[in-house]
Formats: sequence, C-alpha cells, structure tokens
Amino acid sequence: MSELFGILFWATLVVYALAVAAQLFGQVFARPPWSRRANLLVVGGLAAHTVLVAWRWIETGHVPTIGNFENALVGGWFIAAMTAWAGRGERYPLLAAGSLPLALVILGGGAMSDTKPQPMVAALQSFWLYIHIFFAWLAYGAYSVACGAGVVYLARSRKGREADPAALARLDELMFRSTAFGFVTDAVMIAAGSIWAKSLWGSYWSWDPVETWSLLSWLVYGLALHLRTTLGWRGRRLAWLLVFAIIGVLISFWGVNVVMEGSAHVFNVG
Amino acid sequence: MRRLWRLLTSLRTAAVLMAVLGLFLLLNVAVPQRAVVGEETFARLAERGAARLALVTLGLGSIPTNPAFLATLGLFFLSLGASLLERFRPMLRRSGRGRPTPEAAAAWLARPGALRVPLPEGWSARSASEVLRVCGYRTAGVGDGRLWGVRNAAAPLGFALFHASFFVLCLGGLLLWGTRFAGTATAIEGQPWQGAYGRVVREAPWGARPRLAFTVSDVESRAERGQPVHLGATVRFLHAGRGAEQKARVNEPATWGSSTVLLQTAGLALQLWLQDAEGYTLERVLAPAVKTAGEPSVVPLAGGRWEVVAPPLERDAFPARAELPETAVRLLVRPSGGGEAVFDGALRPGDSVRLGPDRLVLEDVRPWVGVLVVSERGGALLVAGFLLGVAGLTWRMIWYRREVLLAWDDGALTLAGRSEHFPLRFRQELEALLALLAAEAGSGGAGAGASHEPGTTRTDDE
Repeated sequence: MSELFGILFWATLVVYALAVAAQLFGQVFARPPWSRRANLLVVGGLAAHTVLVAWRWIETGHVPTIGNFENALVGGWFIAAMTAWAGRGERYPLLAAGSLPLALVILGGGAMSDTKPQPMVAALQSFWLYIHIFFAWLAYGAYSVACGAGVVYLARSRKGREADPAALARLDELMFRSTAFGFVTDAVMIAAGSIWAKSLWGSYWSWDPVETWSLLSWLVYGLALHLRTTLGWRGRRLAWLLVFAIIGVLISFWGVNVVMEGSAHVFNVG
Repeated sequence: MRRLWRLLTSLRTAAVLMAVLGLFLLLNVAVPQRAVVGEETFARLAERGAARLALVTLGLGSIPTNPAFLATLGLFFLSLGASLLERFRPMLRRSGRGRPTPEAAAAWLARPGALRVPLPEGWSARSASEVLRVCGYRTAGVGDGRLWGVRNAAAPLGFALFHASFFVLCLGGLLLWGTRFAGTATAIEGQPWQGAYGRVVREAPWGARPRLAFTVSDVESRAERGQPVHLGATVRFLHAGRGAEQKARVNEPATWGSSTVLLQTAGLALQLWLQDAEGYTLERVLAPAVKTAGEPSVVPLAGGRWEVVAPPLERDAFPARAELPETAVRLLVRPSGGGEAVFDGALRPGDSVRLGPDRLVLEDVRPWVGVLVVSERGGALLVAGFLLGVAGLTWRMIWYRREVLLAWDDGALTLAGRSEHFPLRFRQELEALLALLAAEAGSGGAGAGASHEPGTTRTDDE
C-alpha cells in the first residue's frame, strides 16, 4: 500500500482502539461524556475507513474482494458500521468495546498479508461474487455485534455487580436479533456460494475446508437460535455461546486459508 | 411407541443431533479427508498404525460417507420430519387470521404492558383502521370500541418452510451424488473431442457417462502480472448433426442438457512432423505440449527414439490469436532416456530441426483448453431448497407475526400487542404506532404523553 494509504489505515485502527478505550474508561469510571466521545470516535473512524475502502476500490478498479487484506478491509468496515448502527443513540454504551476488537484483529491480520493490489482474476469475475461476499460481510458483521453484546452482557452481569435489568434485557434482545439477522444472511451467503461454485468448479458442494467450516459455523448459530427460542436460553448462557461461536467465524474467515492449502477458495482457476 | 415419538419430536433431541453433526463437520475439517488431500497423499497418511485405524477403519478420512455420520444425518431428518408433523397443526392455528373473542380481548387488555393515552380529540375508528392498514396490519372489529390487527399472520409457517427445505436439499443432494460424473479432458482447437478423458475424476453410481462431442475455437487466455484474468473459448457441440455454439469462459461454462464443460486451463499444442531425408512424412503428432504451469511436457517421437521437451509457458506470454503463426516456442529435443540435447532453442511454425538423417518440423501451433466435463442432475432441487429455506427463514425471523389490539372508550385509548420475537423492539413499534394514531386523530404529541403499566409487552418467546 502507498505511504499515505498506510498512514490513514493505521490511523483508522488507532481511532477504533481509542474508541474502545474511551468506552471502557467512561463505564468503569462512571464518566458518561467519555462514552459519548467514544461514539464520535467510532463514527470518525468509520468515515476514515470508508475513505480507505473507496480509495482501494478506485486504485484497483474493482470492489476490494481479492486477498486477505481487501477482505479484511471491507469485512472490518461492515463490523464497524453495524456496531455504529446498533449502538446509535447510546442505547448500548459498551457495545463498541465488545465488538470493535474483532474488527481490529481482522484488520491487523489483513495488514500482515500481501497488501499489493491484485488484478481481478478470471475466477472472481462473476456476479455471484458480489452477492456471496456482501451477505458474508453482513453475516459476519451481525455475528460480531452479537458477540460484542455478549461480552458486554457477561461483563455487566458478573457476580458481585449490580446490573440494570432493563439494560441487560436490551443486550439480551440485541444478541438474539443480531444472531437471527446473521443467520439469515449467512444462509444466503452459503446458498449464493454454492450456486457460484457450480459455475466455477462444476460442483455445488465439494466439502472444501472453507465450505465445511462455514456450514459448521452456521450450524452453531442455528443451534444458538434453537436453544433460545425453544429451550429458553437467554442471558449469560446465550452470551457465552455467542462469544465462543465467533471463533468459528474467525476461523472460516482467516484460519482455513492460512492453514490449509488444499482449500479451493484460493481461486487459482485459469 | 409414544415414548419414542416424544423422544423423536423433543427439541433437546434436535439440539443434541445438531451438536453431533457439528462435531462431524469439525472432524471433516480437522482430519485429512481423502477428497481434499487426494488419493496419493491420503494413502501415505493412512499407511499404518493409529492413522490407518482412524482414517480408514473408523472412516474419519471420508466423513461424508462415514456410516456414523450418515446415521446421525438420517436420525436428524427423522426427528425433523416427526417434529414438523407434530407441530404443523398448532402452527396452522397460530398462523390464522382469526380474531380473538371479546372475552379473550378483554383479558389481553387487562394484562400489564398495554400502552394508554387520553382519547385524542377527533378520534375515529375508521381512520385508526386506515392507519393500521398502512402500517401493514389486517384489521377486524372485536366487539364495541375494539379493533384487532395482525401483520404477517402466516409468518409462523416460515418455520415449516425453512425446515421442509432441508428435505428438498437432501433429495437434491442425493440425486446429485447418484448422477454425478466428472472427467478432465484436453481439447485442441479445431480437433473434435469425442469422449477421450484424460482422467475420470468420478463415475456416476447411477447411469452412464454423458455422450458428448464438441470442438473448441477462438481460445483466448490473458494474464496480468502472472495472474489469469481471462480464459475463454467458443465451444461447438456436435450432436446429431446439429451444432450449437456457446461462448464459454471461466464462471460461464458451456452446457448441453445436464452436462457442463468448464474451462480450466489453456496452453499451446504443437503439430510436429517427422520427415525423412527425402521429405516423406514418417510421423505426425499433435500434442498439447505447452502448458501455463507445472512440469515440462515430454512428447515421444519415432517410436520412442526421440523426445521433445516443452517447458511451461508463462501466463503473461500466451500469444494473441494474430500472433500464433509467428509464435516462437521454446523446445528441447534429445534422444529418449537422456543424452545430450540435439536442439535447445525456439522454433516458429515452419521451422525445422535435424535429427540425424531425419528432420523434425514444427508445422503449426494451436491453442488447447483443459476442461472439466461434469454431468449431474438435481441442481434444480438444490436451488429450490435454497430459495425455500431463505424464504422460510426471512418469513419467520425477519417478517415475524405481530398482533395489536386497540380499545377506546370515553376517557382513554389503549394499545396492547404481542409479537413472536423481539419484545423490546416491538414495544418501540407500539409506541410509535400509538403516536401515529394520536397524530392522525389530530390531537398531536400522544407519544410523549403515553403512560404504560410496568412490565414487558407479551411475546410468544416468553
């Protein structure tokens, strides 16, 4: 990446980190103005992040979808945007502190991979790419918000701490709503990917590691919804499940391509 | 029998089965799988000892065909089917548009959580009904001074639709598994291809191989900075004397019936003639020798006396069509089994090389494409399953069922509601709806003045 791009990229990460710190400071030391500053920092960071995405788009001539860096750039944007939207109006004062660290991990990891702009390879020249990737980002963003809400719920409801029942009820519902939204968009992502795979690889499903891990991740969230709607899991139990479930998302986003060279998701057709 | 039925339809059973299936999926990723690592690597890994026991004997090296996995999947579908049967009637009842009885409405209004405001001036049941209709509710009167509305009444059926889609997907998957044939082939431009597979990747358990014949032309391959950015060709199917031309490229395969021809790679084919001293042709070879990746290709000549070695072409160097007659191809010619090369350089079409008394002529250079031929049925069922599943999920989780009950008398306007999900979000909707009703009636600011009894709005979640 160019020097200016690099400066803006790292500045964005710093702003997100400051937002997390400000929210934590505001809550721990009971200083509401710091929580408000944190929200402004999230919005500011998101604005800079939007510039980065647009910059990369113009520089490469295509939607930034190729390689770990571009996926991290846009995936992180979705996490930040959905966090900002869900936490608007200061309804969830610690939400950014719970979910933005995921964006930081993803962006930081992306920055460690090859950041050189790549041409749009033949295997990615498909309308289905945009549908698949868009719903993937929506799903992962929603799961990140659910995880963030879970982290905040666990922090607020731990033993020895007096918690506002109304605030906990709001967090509980946010966990459920985000999970439900993520589950639906995840299903669309898997379906779109499968239809695309038929045109690209000649098979709807190859039990490729990335495909399998995505399905596993979806199943885990399906289990979470089942446990909530039918067996009444809520509160801390649901929060713990959602905090652990995000590991599946991170692995399917990052880990499988890093660890397993046999994955067809490296797009080397042609 | 009853106990078995209860076990099958129990939600705990469903949760346990999902968890076990998840474990199998985890094993599918964590344990080397035959289909992913390839036969050779798998055989090496599963040579002996604990690895052999785990991968072969216990079948963990091929989870999709592992008997325990298939049994769990079978149980899952059995449980799912039983649950759908058991819950179908209650679901139909919950999806109805039947309004509550006056007694049920009274009891509903008396519960905590209802919103209450002073009756706005200019209040009219008709305009209230209109407001509710605009907000997506179907309305009906319930006795005097009461109006009931329901939105997305049939949304609970989304549960059935989503879960029933699993059966459609399973059926599609089974059909695909049974009918899938896949084989790789090389098609040289201008040469008809008629079923000569380089490698059969998979034979179909049910049915025969597809009967396909086609030619390729206009092969184009382009790269940028070593990355393949375009691979395309015109595929002309030759069936029963009719030709059907299709422009194919990566992501847009050519199709014929249930068969698909996917372009995967390209290279240059060499037309080589071996001539004797008097110019008579001893041998003609058309070999797809020059690839864009991998190891050099070796073409045997003269009954194995000579071999022509063609190193791979760089992706960026694939010639445009107009340049083919002048394309220089790097070749090495040597006696078979080793020995000093008699030629190591570049040849253009028309150039020749002395091989003892004989002459090797590079007559022509043509493009070739490596294709994957796939034939299978059941894709439509799979796509239908996806559509049903997503529709069912959206219906159930996003457009969930909501009901409101509006009551008015001389003093007050009361709004009670219930939703399938998200009680807090629904309460916000009720507050906004009440404000809208009051504003419509002309009194204004009903939202700010609303009072409500403590407690949450009732939902079906609780």
